[in-house]
Amino acid sequence: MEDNVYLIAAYAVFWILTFVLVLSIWVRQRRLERMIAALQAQLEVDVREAD
Amino acid sequence: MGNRVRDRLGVLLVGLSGIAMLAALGMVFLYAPREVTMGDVQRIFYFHVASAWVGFFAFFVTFLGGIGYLVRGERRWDVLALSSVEIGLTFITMTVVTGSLWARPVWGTYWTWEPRLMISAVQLLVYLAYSMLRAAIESPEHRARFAAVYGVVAFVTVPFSWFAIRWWRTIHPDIMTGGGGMAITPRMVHTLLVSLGAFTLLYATLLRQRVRLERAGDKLIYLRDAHDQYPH
Repeated sequence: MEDNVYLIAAYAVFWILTFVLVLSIWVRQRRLERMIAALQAQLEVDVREAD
Repeated sequence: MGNRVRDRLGVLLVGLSGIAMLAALGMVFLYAPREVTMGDVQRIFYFHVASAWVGFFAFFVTFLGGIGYLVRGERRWDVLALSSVEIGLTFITMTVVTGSLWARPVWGTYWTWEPRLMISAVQLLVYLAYSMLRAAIESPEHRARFAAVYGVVAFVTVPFSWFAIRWWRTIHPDIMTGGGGMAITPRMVHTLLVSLGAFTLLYATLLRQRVRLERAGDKLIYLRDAHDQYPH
């Protein structure tokens, strides 16, 4: 029974680390997409003003 | 149209790797037999070996990315190498932690200074240094060139880790020779093969997303440069 604690802990470590990696990629992707959208909107304004 | 096709590929990869991971997990707990000497704790072995495989493979891709960058000088090779290191580091961390959790009931200790474990710890530090040193170099060209050389040289830790259990006296089990006191049955081999396949699919999915993240970062830099060219 005590050995099962190590088994459960090992599989929990796997899922937690995978979740952290996926979450970290997703959060950074979302932040970049927001910044890209804001810059693209600003660039459209720049182009209009330059014309 | 192109984006839509790429997104479909992304969804397909996520779906396939999810199904494969669930299948591997099902086989680990429902199909693979209980090992006679170690008992249920031996079931750690399937995800432990598969994590190590992905870690090694990820560092091999970084090695290839480094060579690609040194030969061609193209940013895409640097993106591939950098993206793969991050995934490799995560999976080698999993390997070390799950290995320690297996070692506690089997060896009576979480850690012992034997060759395979020592090389794994050194490998983890070497690739952590890769990420930290990259971040410390400002010039993109110098950063990419340095990282390419470092990624090629650092790969030496992979064959060292792989062969450590054959070159030196060690208590670490060797699944290729059956050494280390583990009785491998055909069902265990099937489970391990499915786990290896599932983890490889998961790696491909994660790598694709990580590369897309790096490309989005490049696009942001390009847009900032374009924005700065307009008078404000």
